[in-house]
Amino acid sequence: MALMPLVIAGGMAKGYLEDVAEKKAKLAQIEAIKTEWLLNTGLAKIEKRREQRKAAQARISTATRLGFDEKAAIALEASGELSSVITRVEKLIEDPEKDVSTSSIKKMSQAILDNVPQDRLAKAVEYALDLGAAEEMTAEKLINTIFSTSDESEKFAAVADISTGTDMPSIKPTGINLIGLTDLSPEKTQKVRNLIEDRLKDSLGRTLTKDGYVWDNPGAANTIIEKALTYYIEQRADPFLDKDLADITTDISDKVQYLIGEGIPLNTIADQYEFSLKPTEFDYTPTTSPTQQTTPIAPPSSIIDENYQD
Amino acid sequence: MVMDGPIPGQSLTREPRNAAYERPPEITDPNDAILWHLSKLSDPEKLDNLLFTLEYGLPVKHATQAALTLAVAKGVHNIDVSLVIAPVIHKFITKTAEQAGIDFMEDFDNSDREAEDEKNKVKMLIDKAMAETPQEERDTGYQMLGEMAEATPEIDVEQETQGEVEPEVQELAAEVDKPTAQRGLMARG
Repeated sequence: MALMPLVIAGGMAKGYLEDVAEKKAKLAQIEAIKTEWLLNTGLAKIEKRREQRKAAQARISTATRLGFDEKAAIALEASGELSSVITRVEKLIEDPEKDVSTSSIKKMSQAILDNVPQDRLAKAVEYALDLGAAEEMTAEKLINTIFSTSDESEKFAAVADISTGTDMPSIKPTGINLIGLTDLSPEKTQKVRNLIEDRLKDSLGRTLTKDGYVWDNPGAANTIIEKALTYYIEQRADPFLDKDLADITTDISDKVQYLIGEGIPLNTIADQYEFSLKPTEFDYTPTTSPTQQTTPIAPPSSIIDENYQD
Repeated sequence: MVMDGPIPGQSLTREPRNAAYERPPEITDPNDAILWHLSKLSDPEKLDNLLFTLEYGLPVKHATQAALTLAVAKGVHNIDVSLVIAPVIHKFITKTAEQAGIDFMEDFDNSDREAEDEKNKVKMLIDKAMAETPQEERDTGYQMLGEMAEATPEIDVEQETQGEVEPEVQELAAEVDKPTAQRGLMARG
């Protein structure tokens, strides 16, 4: 009879040992799967991710070296444009015919930052990426930087907002116009002026004399061309110009043609119209007296009376 | 004073057993709970996300707490089991990070901050790891991080995840603690 508890205890011990052995086997299996993944894929994947982060940091460093504001570089990196921007800016710098000015790069940096939507997402991207922009980011640096700020709750909220949605926190491509980084030389300015004159010759009226081309209304024509040239230069320098340079001259030509087609005198266009304005929205005060009407306007009743008299 | 807490008795207005943690847990044996966690964390789709999060600066202690809290919230096991298995999960994550050659942290260096700050910090680091996950890698591991991030307000950051291993899990703890021959990227060749 005393043997029974021992048998029960032995059975339980055996069951326990079998159970433990089974769990150990499962654990070994888990360990094997993990090790296999680490060796075959995981380590390479981790290394790749590290390289991607380092490459991004290197791009930001290069951009700042080129003169871009660090935050603007981060914004471009977040929008996926930084790599191509660096390549193109470096090509522009190498080109002896192109004069890339530091002030233009600074201006563009500011424009990029102004263009980034000023909502929490943009702030979050700016802040989160700013942490490790110029040098390799370490966990300690990240944490210390975050907690050295005074408005912690705001920072947390902003950064936390990054991935609460399903979409990647990114800035939409800014589509920056790198030609705006280069200055227009006097020779090129003259070429642009000639181009504009050529496009406007029919609209403004230009005739060929023995002394060369002469404008029908030189004062108005020259003022319009000057304004058009200024508009061209402004448009060309726009960091977010979304059209070809040729489109600017077409735009100028179309606007002048429309205004003339509306019967607006050249002097009025020269004095009052600015090319940044849509011609349909041009509200002007006539500068020349309207043509005197030769036929007096008669009330309809008098016309009827005249018909009856016939 | 901000009065945004629940009204006394508010919990009684909800459907009983509605939340997963109000129902009996799926796993009551701590050893089974260990296996459940380890199999989840070893899943290649999840393991990469976990390791990247450690690389971004999430300490192993908080990664462990997040994993355990998430399991409790899902009704997988209860808090008592969490306390028993925490050292084993912590050890497993540490060992895996070592194998992967990650320069990880056991805990935040300056842990004398408010619990709320620490939770925010954990959430921010998880969010950062998520944000930097490429679109094509947003798999179940990415979802796991999202769930962990959501569970951070519930994390007990003061709970120790290292320490003495309870007798009932010693056998598996010893298995987890076994040294691994190959460590880090340099050991591959």
